[in-house]
Amino acid sequence: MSQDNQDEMLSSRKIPSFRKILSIRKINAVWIILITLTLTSVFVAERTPDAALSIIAVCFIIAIKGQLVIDKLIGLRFENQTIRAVMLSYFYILPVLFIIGFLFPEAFLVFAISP
Amino acid sequence: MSNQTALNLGQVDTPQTSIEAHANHVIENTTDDKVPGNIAVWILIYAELTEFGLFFAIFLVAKAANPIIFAEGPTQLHTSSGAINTLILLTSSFFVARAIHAIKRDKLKTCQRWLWLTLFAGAAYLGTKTWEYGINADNGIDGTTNLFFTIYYYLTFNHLLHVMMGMCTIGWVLARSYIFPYTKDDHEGLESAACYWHMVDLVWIMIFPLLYVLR
Repeated sequence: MSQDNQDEMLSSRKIPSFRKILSIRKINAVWIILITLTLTSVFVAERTPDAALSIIAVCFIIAIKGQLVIDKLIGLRFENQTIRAVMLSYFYILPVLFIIGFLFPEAFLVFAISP
Repeated sequence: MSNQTALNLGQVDTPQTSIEAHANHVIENTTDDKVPGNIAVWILIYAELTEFGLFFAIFLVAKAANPIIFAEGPTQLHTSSGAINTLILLTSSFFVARAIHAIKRDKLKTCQRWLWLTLFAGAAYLGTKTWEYGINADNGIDGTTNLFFTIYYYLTFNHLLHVMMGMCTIGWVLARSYIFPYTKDDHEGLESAACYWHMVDLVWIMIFPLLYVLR
């Protein structure tokens, strides 16, 4: 195979030179957002008089923080989408369970073993 | 050579030239199916997350059965140390992400510096956790105080062991990087260790609000 043909074969497949990675500026921004969200969740839990509202807000923040770490810091947004879907579902399902467990605890009583 | 001819090259019964093999290898590693690290570490991560998920469920069931104990429990905990540990672990995840970013740019020395910072962050976490357990002990709180503290100690100590395991893993890849340097094309082990460390951080993102913040 001639060199011209080899070059054409590579270019026809549109091969990127390396995998997509986040810029340093974006990684720094994600870190600042994560810190801000953590402090916000503590503040909301301590200061919000409405318990239900603070529980929902804190659980919402858990889901956002999880998604930021999974997509941006691990970088799964650009990688295997099956692994990403499983990881994200963990951070969508568990916060919902937390909301149910704190606002409607009797829903979990069916699993409790009586002494 | 047409595009169709080029795409059919792999199906011909002739030996692959080095350029074709390279092209196939690059394409495999640039699609969205690329696994960060290796698949074994992701099986381990799923197993760990399942374990913690089960304990979160147990926490919710125990809370439903013992509402008073679980309402009073968080008020006796040192919320500041929990918040400090959250900030430390998020920062350590940031350090690991910067280390991976550096190695993908083939900057080994920079990568090593970020890995050292990750280890220091892990040590800071252990120090803060020891301080928190000390405060609990001074207040007469231990694993037998009540059901809330039994679960609290199980979850936090189990997580602490995972942090120590993560530190050993990061320490190993750091030591290896001095002997057999990672490159931008060969850093699967480093990426696996980084994914495990991120998992430790992700679990704490759940534990902190569940035990310290939500009432």
